[in-house]
Amino acid sequence: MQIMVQSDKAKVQLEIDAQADWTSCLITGLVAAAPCFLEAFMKCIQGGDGGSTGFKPGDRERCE
Amino acid sequence: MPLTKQQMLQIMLENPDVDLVYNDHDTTLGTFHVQTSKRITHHDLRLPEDVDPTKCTIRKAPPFHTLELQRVHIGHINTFNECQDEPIKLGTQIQPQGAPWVGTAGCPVSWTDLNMERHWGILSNWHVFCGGRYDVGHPQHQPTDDRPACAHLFAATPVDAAKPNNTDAAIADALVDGFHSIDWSILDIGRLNPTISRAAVGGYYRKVGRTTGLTHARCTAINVTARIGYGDFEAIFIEQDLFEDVEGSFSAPGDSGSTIVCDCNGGPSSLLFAGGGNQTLGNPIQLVADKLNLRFDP
Repeated sequence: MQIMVQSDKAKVQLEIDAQADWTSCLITGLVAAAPCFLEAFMKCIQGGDGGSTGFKPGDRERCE
Repeated sequence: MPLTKQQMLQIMLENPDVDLVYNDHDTTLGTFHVQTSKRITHHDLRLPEDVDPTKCTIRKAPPFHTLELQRVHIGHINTFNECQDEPIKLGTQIQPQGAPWVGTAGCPVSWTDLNMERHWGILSNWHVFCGGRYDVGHPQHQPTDDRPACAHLFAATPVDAAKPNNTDAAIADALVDGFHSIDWSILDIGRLNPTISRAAVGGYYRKVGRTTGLTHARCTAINVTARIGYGDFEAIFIEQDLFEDVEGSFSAPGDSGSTIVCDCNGGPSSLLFAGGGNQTLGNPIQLVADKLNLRFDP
């Protein structure tokens, strides 16, 4: 899911994890506190919380 | 007054022939049910002194046992027990390396470890992934161990014969060579609604397992106390969900580990782990999720 964020200085398009839990991510961000709030919140909302690289389904053929 | 958890446990402990105890759905009546595979009467039953025996109904039904499938019985091949290329859809067969049994890889789950690292993997039973034989890290293979490992045992809630249990669960991390071997879906069901739906008496449910595939059931009781045969030992379970067949068997040996999903909203309700006759038992999935810190979305 893509959203557009616009301020008086910039306009940014972000890719958002459709399954992201906004409330949980907001708490994640608040725990991180300023100045890391935005970074932690964005990492979480984009599906990359906890420093992980995300869910990456493989495509290997296993049955031959 | 309905039976308390302690009273149900006491009935189970003092009556070795009793397999199941649960309150009537209408708890205002104070009636309860005792199930046994033996010929016993009210006269044989030992009830706590503060329990009214006239409120008890005795039912006769087969005993409960776990539903893993011994490897020697594997024969008929269907979609649910054949090999799956990646990403592997769940509801399909899985086997710990070297185990003489197979079960079902229930559903995809995610969790965060103590180092705050996210993991993605498979939910099944302790007696499928581990069975008291295997340690953390043990490889899990789909459909059998002549194919490459698709996950490794990460954690479990072991079953204890010496005290009441309420979960028989295990999770395996599906990260293999930098990629996750699984699809975020169950064969024939698709993607789960990540919101847990507690089992409700009278509600309709579905599951996909390696033996019977996609089948349907109705929930007939919750908060059930049950005696389960594990082959070489017996264990008592409390707070369990009870389901009865709708149009054919809901479960059969090999279906252990399946996720029971609510028809109401497609959310996970129970973790299938035992059955007998036309009945199937599941651990309330909220209990499993709480113990293993699970989420049902990626």
